[in-house]
Amino acid sequence: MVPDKDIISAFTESADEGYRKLMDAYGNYVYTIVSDKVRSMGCEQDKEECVADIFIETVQTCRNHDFKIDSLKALITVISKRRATDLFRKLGAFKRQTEDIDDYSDTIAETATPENISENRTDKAALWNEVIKLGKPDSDILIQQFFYCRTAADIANMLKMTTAAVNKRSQRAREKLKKKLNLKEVH
Amino acid sequence: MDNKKDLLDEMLSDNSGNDAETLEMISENCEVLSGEQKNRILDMIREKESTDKKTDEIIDDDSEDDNVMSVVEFRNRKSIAVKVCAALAACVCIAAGIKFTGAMNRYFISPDDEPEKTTGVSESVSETSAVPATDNSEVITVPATGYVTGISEQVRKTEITSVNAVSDKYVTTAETGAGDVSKNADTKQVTEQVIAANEIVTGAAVSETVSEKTTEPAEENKESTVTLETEYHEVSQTEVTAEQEESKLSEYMGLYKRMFDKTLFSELSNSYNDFQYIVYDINKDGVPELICEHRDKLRNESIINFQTIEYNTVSSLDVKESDYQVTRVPLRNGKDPNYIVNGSVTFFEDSNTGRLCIEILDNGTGSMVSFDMDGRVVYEADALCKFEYGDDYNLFRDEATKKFSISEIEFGRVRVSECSVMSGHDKIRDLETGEYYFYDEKYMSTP
Repeated sequence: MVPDKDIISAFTESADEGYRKLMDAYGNYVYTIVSDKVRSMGCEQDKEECVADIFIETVQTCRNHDFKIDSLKALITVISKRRATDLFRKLGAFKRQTEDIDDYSDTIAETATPENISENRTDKAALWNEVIKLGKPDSDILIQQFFYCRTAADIANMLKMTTAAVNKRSQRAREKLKKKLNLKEVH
Repeated sequence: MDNKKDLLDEMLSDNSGNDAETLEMISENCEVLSGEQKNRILDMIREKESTDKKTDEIIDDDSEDDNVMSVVEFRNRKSIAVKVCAALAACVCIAAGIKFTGAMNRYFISPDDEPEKTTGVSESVSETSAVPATDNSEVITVPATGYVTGISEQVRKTEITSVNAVSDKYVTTAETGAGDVSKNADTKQVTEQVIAANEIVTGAAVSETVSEKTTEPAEENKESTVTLETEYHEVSQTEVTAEQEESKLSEYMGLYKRMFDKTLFSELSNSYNDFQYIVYDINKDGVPELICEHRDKLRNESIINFQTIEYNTVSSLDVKESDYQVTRVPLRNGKDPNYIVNGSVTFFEDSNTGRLCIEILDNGTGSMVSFDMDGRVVYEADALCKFEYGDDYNLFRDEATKKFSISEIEFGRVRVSECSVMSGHDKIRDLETGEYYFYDEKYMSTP
């Protein structure tokens, strides 16, 4: 992981080099945030453009503050979430339906309670933790398949495997995962 | 077996609302961007930055009109000069031709030659046109590029929608600009006439109304009494960013507040509830000054982003970190309980000073420390007991004044006040001394 100060010092020398270092440090992270928000609503180009916009805005904000930023990660996270939300709204705009406020005026906005929300998030975190524990390339396959919604062919291309091998590995990994989770439940 | 496997697939596929830690963990453990993708993104960045730079240079050019005129004159002069030179050159050629042929007759331009000459002249003219553009000439011809910024003024709304944590709906009001607000509207009237959510989106999206009343489009600069009738508007086709939308919404919030004579609070949330915005009107002039954005924990840190709104622009004041997970303030009518997880941070206005404060409430000890935005401690107190009045109230003793105070949450605002009347709670216990007190209107009295 490239430290923030190296990234910032790279910008003082060359914007190109700065962006490259920023990409190396946070490219994956930003893309993950965007993917989490947008899911399969947008194509790869939309997501890549969103990532580009996020980096530009981050650097612009840093420049406005003379690069005196306490936490580059915090800043880029906030900007990423906003831009991802913009993209989500843009892509999903026409799919939304209008609803009458009277349907909601006397009821709580959602049935989720703080406990539910917290529990749900903990469960998801635990699930992905278990996926990562499977080890590569199984974990990569499952993450690419279910989190980033990539096809087996794309995953095969990325991991330099055949499509059939990816499908097989995915199936086995899920079997393994299921057994692990069942075991954990029992205990 | 298949069902269980399907269930697992469903769990893996259900990825909405992952917290920041999970996202971080996933991004660290799985390389998702290929080299090719990274290069594509970097190319996009270079292209966008250079386009922005050009647009900025053009926008910064203050004497644009003069330059346009001077360039036009310059080009005219240039074309004339070239024409003259071409004519002279032609004459020289003709003279040379006459000399060489030895003909002393009158020069005769055959029909065949003329087109050439014409062509020659027009070529030179076209060459003139094709003269490499100077910076000034770009001023004339450059197309509109760059990012569209600024608030679109084309949207006028009189609809009111609800703030809803489930989807991207928010309470908006009235048209922009300063209109006289009808203060006679009551909540019932509002709910009867309320409309669905509005979104400012790219394209010709329209804001639909659900009301049965007939509507007509509002004129753009119309100043009128804000009514609760619904109107049908075609929204701007300009792409609007989150900040622009925030600014727009903040205007509506201000009017909304005036309408109902409420101050300080409104709330938005995105569809995943990952962060919420709370709009504050600190100086109670009906125009919001502050939007506070709550976001989730990042490791053990919470990032609180302060923003101010000035003339529809949003600038970041500061990014502070705290050790507490940011709490969600109650929704809509203030009757929903706080989401408190291992302590809470709440933004509120100090009713004494009018300053925005942060209340950090430790659920374990019940202590409360409030800071203003400059980091100065405003209140420091231990809660005596926590009322079970929907968890909306905390009674505590102010260490500075040694007086009992109540912090109550109403519409997302924590108001710290002395001696509020609380019915149904006639006995409280001082956690410090262990003594019991009766609570009455005047104050506390020992039993």
